[in-house]
Amino acid sequence: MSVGAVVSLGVIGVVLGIALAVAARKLAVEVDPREAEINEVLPGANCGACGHPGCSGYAAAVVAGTAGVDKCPVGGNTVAARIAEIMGLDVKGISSIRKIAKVRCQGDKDACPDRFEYDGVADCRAAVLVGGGHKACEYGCLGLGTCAAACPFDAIHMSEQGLPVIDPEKCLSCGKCVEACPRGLIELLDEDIAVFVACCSTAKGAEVRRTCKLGCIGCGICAKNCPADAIEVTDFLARIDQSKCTRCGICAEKCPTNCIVVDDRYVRIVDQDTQGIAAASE
Amino acid sequence: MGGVHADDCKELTADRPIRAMDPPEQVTIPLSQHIGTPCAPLVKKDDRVLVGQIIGDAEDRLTAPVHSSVSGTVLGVTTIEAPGGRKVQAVSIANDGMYELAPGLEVDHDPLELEPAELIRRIRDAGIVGMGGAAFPTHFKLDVPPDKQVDTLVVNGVECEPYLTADHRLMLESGEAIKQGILVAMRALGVRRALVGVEENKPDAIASLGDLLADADGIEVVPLKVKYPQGAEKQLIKAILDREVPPGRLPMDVGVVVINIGTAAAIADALYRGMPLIQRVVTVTGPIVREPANILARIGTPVSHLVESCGGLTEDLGKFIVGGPMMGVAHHTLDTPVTKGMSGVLLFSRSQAKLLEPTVCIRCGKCIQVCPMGLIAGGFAEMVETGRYEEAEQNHIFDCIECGCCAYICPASRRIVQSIRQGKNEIMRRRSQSA
Repeated sequence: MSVGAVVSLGVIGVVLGIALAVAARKLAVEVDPREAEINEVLPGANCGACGHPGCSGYAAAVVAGTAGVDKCPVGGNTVAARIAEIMGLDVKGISSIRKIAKVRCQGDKDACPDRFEYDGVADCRAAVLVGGGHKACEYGCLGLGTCAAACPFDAIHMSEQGLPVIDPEKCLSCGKCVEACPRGLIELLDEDIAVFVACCSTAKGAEVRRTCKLGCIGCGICAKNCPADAIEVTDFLARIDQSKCTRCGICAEKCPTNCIVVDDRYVRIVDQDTQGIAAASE
Repeated sequence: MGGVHADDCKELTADRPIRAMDPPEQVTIPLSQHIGTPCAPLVKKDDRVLVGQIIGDAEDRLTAPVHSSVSGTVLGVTTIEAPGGRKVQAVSIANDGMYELAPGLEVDHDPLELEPAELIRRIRDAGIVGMGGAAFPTHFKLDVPPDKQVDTLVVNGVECEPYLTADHRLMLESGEAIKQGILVAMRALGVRRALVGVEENKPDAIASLGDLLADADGIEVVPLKVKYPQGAEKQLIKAILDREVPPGRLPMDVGVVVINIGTAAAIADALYRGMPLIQRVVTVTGPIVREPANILARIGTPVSHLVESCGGLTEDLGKFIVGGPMMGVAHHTLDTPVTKGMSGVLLFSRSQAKLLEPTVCIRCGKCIQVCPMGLIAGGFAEMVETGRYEEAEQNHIFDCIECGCCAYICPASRRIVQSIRQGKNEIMRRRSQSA
């Protein structure tokens, strides 16, 4: 009796064992080794900023050819270059400048007062639906810190005057704040740009003057004075073409409302008589 | 299902008869006072316009023309901010005080002998929209598609919002016009039955309308228990006919069309007296109004003018609400004109309007009990706060009628309706982005 049981169980064991071995061969999932390699070089933040479900999802998409190598904003160009290497692609053309988030508004409590008292949900996306927002400027920062709450890297803090301040050291340009701002005031810009227009108002100059001390009134003085012809004013708003900008900083100096923000580290001082670059401050 | 019993505060104005006011020197008439396509201006600066003259219209089915409420000279077409923050075009007119009527406003036929299509056309030409607040073009409602069968007209005399008494006074003082309007609407719809829903807190209106309508075939006044938001379309149909309008469907899908008491009176003014919609009754009230009143105001009159006509304010203004306290919208300036949908103007001092600081949800479930749509109101607020928009959509966030019962009842003072609005907006934004 017991012998029969041992034999029959033994036979079942052997048959199932063979079946499993065959199935493992036949149904094996082929994993591209590059996927694991890419996953290795990704930051592992799983922030989703690339639009894929986490880092491994992005790695799979790159290998499958459905995503580009430069779609990880956190890793930036360094990671992009390494992914390109793994994929056997040309690494030239990927610049080594990282991007960081910059706030294109200076309308804090002093510069741009409230039109009315807002007493609702402390979220800019809710506030913007109440009477079009409580700020005098209908394009400006509402100051409730939705961008700061959205930042996964603690890189955004609200100033006492009610404007977001971005810590360039902590910002990994994931773009979460860009997505969160209902007024679209945050932009991912190259870290080393010398100047940018910190205003998004396309209202007429008189309207901007009425609502904000630091807004772009579309006067065009910056465009007229730009030696590189890099500035254009459309819809009463100055727009700087960073690819043409020579970092002279003249536009910011001439701007009557101080709405062009300068990063001194990247400005080259210009001798205005000769229009030539006299020295670099770097 | 659901609902709340808020202190109705109607005693401030319930016994104040509708009165006229000194006409303003200037009116500013918005070209979009309705749900639908905004009108384009048909007049320009320095044109002379007459009372009842069309000054704005649009080529669209879902729109309603706008008429001048005074005679005088057009000062210009400007852009103003409507309550709620929407930017709308508006025609400013200097009132010459003559009130000269536009030609062609004479009544040439007994309205009850006109064809339904002609009635609907005339209602459109008179610029009539829902006077309860939503301002949905009335001709659009009455023009029932051939594949839909409507058997009952429901007339909304509920006026469940606290403070408001404009419809109450209209029922007491303009019963005859309301009756005429109901008969016209019945003929336009081709129905033999009309039910007038009135809450039991207005026994005088129930009695007087009941007497007036006693000899009218098929029209009946139905007294309703007092409950907010019974005046909401779907809730009213449920209360009066026990029919349920499925989510995403219209009253006409269950054989009903609902119009407001004020709309019925406006229809009568247009078809029996030839006067387009150029004025309406506005309840001006609130604890800081010196003499609260129900005022018959010309469309385009600045609200500040109405407040002055009520003797001004006894305290500094802290909050100004257009409409009722539950569903109305706050606005930041009294320098806004009376519109077709403006049923009330509420004024509070700063301390009266002060909201408690919101705290965390204590899971009491009251918001769910009071939701007239049977939704998980407070749950939506949490889903929106944490970005769980798909979940909110799956739980039918779009069925929320924003009546405010949840926020009213919430012991944690959570701004539930505002969060729901934010969620709806965010979901729509994402849809349009992915489309």
